[in-house]
Amino acid sequence: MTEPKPSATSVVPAVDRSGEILAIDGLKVHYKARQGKHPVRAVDGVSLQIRRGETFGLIGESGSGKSTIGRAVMRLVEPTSGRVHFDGKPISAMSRRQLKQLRRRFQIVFQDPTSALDPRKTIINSLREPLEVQGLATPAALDRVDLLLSRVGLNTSFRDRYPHELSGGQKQRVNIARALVLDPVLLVLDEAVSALDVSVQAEVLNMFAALKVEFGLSVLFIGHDLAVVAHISDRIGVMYLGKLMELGPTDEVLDQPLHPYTAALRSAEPEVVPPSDRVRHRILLTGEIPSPTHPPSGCVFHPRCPYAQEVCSTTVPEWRDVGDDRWVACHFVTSVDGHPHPTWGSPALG
Amino acid sequence: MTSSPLTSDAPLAEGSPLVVNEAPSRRQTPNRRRAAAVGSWLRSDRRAQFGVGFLVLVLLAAFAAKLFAQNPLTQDLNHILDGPSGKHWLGTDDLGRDVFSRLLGGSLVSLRASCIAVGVALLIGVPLGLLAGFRGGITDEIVMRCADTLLAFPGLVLAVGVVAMLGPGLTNAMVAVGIVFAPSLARLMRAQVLSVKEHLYVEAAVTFGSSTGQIVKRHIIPNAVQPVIVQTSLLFALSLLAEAGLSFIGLGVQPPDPSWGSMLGRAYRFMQTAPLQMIAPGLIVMITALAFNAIGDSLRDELDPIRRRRRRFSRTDASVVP
Repeated sequence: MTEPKPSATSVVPAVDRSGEILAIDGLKVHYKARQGKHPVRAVDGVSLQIRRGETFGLIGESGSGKSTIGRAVMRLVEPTSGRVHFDGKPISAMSRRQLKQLRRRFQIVFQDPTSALDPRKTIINSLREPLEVQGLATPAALDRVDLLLSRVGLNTSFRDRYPHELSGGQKQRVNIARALVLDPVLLVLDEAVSALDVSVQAEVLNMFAALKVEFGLSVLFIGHDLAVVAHISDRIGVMYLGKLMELGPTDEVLDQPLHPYTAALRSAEPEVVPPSDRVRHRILLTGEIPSPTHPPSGCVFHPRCPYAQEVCSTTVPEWRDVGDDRWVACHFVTSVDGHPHPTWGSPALG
Repeated sequence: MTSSPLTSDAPLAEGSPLVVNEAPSRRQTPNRRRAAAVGSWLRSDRRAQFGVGFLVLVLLAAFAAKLFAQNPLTQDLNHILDGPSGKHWLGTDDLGRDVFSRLLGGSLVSLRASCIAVGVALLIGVPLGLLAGFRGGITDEIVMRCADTLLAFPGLVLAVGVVAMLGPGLTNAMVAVGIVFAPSLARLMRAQVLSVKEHLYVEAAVTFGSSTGQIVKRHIIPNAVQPVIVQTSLLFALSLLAEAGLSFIGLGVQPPDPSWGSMLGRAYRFMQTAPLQMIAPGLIVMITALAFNAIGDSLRDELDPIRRRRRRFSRTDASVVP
């Protein structure tokens, strides 16, 4: 049974939950450090799958390696080890020429909308470039570019403007349009709204949601703002120091975090409740995120974990399937019932 | 009335406003568009008008001089170092030759000489700088250390060395000057490429499948070349002076052929007795150098969308005020 390609006019297309559009398998990306002989372990053994039609949110502090995963998926960095399969094809092992055709199917929107547009090209020329490079610049395709421009909320008067004449939000809309020109099925949004101010963020996020349905996209949404990622994602993965700590459906992960790091992240989120009414337990992390050149032994989170035991500093926790579509890397979590520690549990929101 | 004269040759289907708007821009050939761009550049910038205008004037005068002016090589030893007169507009030199016709005859020699020098410098410096900046690593090291070595040499000594190797003559001398200029262009290009290639639009181009060649051609070169253009215009001026210097010490143009540099060289010897001799060739070297600089500055602004827009706007504003 093949999945019918959703057309732009259909209502919500049926999502085939069983199929995976992207599979990342034991991905490691180590950079050579400027000084010292220890490599920077930007991504250190990450496995995750993105299902057809879903939005997968990847969240983590800066330096946790979430953007590097996005770049590895786009093959902008070469993985040190591990594999990336897109639609069943091993993109991490393909030659540049083999990859060129396939690149039409997965595209990225970067964080910095200004740097992502060539200042010497008019908007329309930037949008046409992917078609020209791919040899698809037929008159019909070029006309479609105009439609796409209006679809992201920019009228035709923007066609012949230069990037410096646009605001940040408008530039990011152009970047989104450019990512959609080749009609991809997977879109990587690498902190795509982080550089925009809050009101524009909301607009662009809602546009993503609409475009996702309209174009039948699967999305890898990378971000550091819990609220933003949660708003748009079906499932989320929480990263810390190059490793996944927890992965599962968004609501479950946020309502009942299983990993101490997720719980800490959740409790650090600002809430709109008077202080007297706050019932949620606040977990304060001490110290800084350790250097990825010298990651801690055992569980990378143990130096900052309030519940760390002896075993945490010696043994790397297993990436464990705890049921209900959830995965956790913690010695003390073996089922979705949670962590054995008394202060554990769902941080109740007022 | 069936159709307007403007659209009479268009098929009937192009009646919708969308198609009619599209049609002219699609039909425009790249050459015609380029010509239109050059036209609007020349119309909108006074610096360009001055620079291009002056150079065209010099070239026209030089060709006209071949037909109408006195022979720049004819000596009249009864009238040496004369002041301006009706017969000799700018006087005569130490061999009684007409300064005005030598000046015009020398202009072609001098301009050709600086074109050779700048051409050689561009051909060597820009590709090597691009390569060093884009490839980085060991390529960068090798190219830049060679450039450093060349820069460590005094320019004139290097030029003299190259001329000694290739034999005297204006072409060889200017090739030597071009080699002396090349390292500075290579460094400039490398520095530009290093900063341009860090931009996300280069990575974006990778993600939709551009080859390295396409990225260099579409993104790296157009964004990196701006200061190189300005530097090139400065090099034109500098190579005029280098030609003057080399001809002055006898390594450039060979007597009796005129060039601005050799005229300056000869006039210098009679500075005490006939100071006016230096003024004409000195002045024309200066104005030509200024013309090249003006073109370079104007071209830099024109090629940069941000500056171009700003200039056009400010000009419009200025013209509104009475």
